[in-house]
Amino acid sequence: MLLYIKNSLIIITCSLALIGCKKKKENEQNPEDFDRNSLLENLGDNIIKPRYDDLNNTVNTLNTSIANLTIPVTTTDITNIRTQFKTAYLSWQSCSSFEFGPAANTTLKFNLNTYPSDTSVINNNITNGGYNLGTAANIAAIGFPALDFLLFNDTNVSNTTAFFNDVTNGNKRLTYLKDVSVYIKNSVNTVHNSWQGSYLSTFKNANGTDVGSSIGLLINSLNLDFEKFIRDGKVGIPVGKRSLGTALPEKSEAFYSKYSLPLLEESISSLQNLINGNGELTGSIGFDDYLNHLGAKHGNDNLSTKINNQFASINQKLSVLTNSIDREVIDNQANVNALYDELQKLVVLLKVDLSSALSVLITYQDNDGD
Amino acid sequence: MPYVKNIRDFLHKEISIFPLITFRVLFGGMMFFSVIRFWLNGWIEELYIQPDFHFKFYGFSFVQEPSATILYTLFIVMAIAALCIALGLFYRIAAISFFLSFTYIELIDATYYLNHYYFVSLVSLFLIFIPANHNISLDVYFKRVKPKANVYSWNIWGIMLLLSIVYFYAGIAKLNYNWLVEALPLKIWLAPHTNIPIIGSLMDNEFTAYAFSWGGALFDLSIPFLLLNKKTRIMGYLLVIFFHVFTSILFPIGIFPYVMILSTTIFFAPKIHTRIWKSLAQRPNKTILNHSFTRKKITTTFLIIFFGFQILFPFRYMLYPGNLYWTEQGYRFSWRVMLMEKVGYAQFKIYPNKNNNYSIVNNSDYLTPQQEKMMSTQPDFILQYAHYLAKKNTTKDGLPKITADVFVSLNGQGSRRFVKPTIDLTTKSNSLLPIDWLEDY
Repeated sequence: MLLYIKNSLIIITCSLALIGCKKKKENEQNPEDFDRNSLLENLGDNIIKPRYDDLNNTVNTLNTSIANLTIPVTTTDITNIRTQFKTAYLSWQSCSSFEFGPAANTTLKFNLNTYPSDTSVINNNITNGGYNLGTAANIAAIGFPALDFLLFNDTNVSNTTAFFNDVTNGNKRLTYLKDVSVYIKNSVNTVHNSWQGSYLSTFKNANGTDVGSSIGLLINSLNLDFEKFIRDGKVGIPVGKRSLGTALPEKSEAFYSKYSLPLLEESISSLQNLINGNGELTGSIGFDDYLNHLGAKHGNDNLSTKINNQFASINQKLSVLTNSIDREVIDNQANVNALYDELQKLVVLLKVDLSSALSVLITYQDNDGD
Repeated sequence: MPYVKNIRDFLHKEISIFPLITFRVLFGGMMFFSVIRFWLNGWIEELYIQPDFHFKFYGFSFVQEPSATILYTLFIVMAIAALCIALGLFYRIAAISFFLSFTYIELIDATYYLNHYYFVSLVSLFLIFIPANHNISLDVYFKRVKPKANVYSWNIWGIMLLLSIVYFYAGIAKLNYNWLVEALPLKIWLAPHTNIPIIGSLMDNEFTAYAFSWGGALFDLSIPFLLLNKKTRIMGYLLVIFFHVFTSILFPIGIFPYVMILSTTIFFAPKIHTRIWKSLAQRPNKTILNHSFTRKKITTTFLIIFFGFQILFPFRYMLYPGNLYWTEQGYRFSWRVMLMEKVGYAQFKIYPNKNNNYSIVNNSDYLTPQQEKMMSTQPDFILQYAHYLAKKNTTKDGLPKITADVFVSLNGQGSRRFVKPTIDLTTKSNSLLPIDWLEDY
């Protein structure tokens, strides 16, 4: 008897499910329907591709200027190039969240922004020549940090011109500068070309939920970037989170140019725009809309609101800082620690709440599930 | 004790060996396939050789991680043993080897725990004690054992009961407020699947989550009975296929849907199995099973103890205060399959000098992403890891103090603090007693 009750229950459930199907079909134009495809389209067309376009342009401009340098190098040359360097380095901040697909294949982040740079390796390369910038041994002797050292080893512009106009080493230094610049340009060009080509549609078409889906790749990549490279690299390590509270200013980004604060600000605002789907073109379907569609909450608040409020708290702590990070960790360590605490809260919201709400597997490993 | 006598008689009724043969061949074959798959995916290297640290089950901290050579040898042994089980060659040694090597590997790192691995261990333990090689086997072919047409019914009932427990207990576990009233976690898990064919557009409909939650619970609770009853068996089996194929489309659950689909064929009537194996059957002569009365008594006692344990053990969570999903005390080995969405993030602070200066640990220096993910939500792993960190960071002043900032979101309710942030975890030890260093749920 019990069995028949159970059977009937199953049949009832199945029929209810079928009725549910029918109902839903009629309402397909429901404006509340969220389309993962339009999210991916907006992210790809309106955010990722334009950001890479910009990076590609700024890096090409910088490289052209550097390639045209001849001895004697003038103060105008250096001043121009320093400005172009800053523009390109800022542009990179908006792309560092995209370390999947083409960027992962090229290991773009490591090629472009492994810091602190190792000045002894750089100097050895300059003196001895015959280097291969693509080897692991040279990872701290290339990219923006190497340019940072070469172009800003002395804040005084005329001393930097003297550095390149030096009778014995100037030529070698200039060659190294050009080689590093070309390596940056080539790495960026490769990734940019892939996004110009077939990868954009690959990205838009991988609309599933598995580890290899675009949303999964992007969320994992931006989480890794925010946790390890923004929170730890730009703030946590310099302020002493790995060194018993002892500040390590020389570990900060852009240590020689002192651009670390604008670079950090740019990376935070880029991330917020990415999450909210705000790009250069019209349309702004982002993860905030997706979260609202899914009804994701944090306590009684919408998760999307909570995340944006947390960005506001971070910006509030950022606004207190005035100098470069390497100075602030010495002069106002408490302010930087306060910033770190707010960044940490955002890590939790992104890595736990956002990933959970989107059912993204936070793992870089494939395995059997249960 | 008339009941015991009835049970004993029932367990020792003679029935056809062929359902068991089907099971042996399929189980051995699947295990062979999954060992090879595990190897080819590079998981031996990734899960067992690369990590510096391995988490242990309570009471099994003595299990050492073997060297790479021994590990690969174990996997070879496991693969050969699985194949031998399928072929019925050196069957008992094969079953023992498979059980030991498989279980040993599972005990090396508890963060890889899956209910289905536990199921495989239980089944292979059971296989050691039953004569599944007495037909359609190389052991019979090589005259190592005598062919049998019949076995005692407990051989087959035991496996059916193990399978039934998996389903039924998975069903009982679903009878809770979140699953039934809130349709959680399915509400969270189904919504992103709007791209699957045909029914994709239903996936972010709340009704779908409710239908699946209730349907899933009903399925789990009723499937053993549907499969046992002759009249509903076909429908039950079609449901089994549908359910497991469907869940394997939705969730990354590896090979286990197929293990369940193939294993449940043991519920089919013996005559179906007999017909399938007819052409290969080895002289199905009438063998008399003549176990002594004492042996039958011992068998019955062991079976009652074994299955009594299986039936009671999942309820041990009742001995603990607090929310089971939050503390997970009594959560494992209880057939709680895909029951909650739990994500966490854990940061550890090391105070080497007992003053207020600390360093924050970079977890990826010590753990793989998979280990870190599992550690971040499970208290016993958090504690084991803290103790490991303490050992690694001991200075001339002795053990450091270690605190943890852990945040966990359960069923999408928002991240909340999990571990009391000021507790020095080196002062706590893993035990079966209730945990006192977690925040209340």
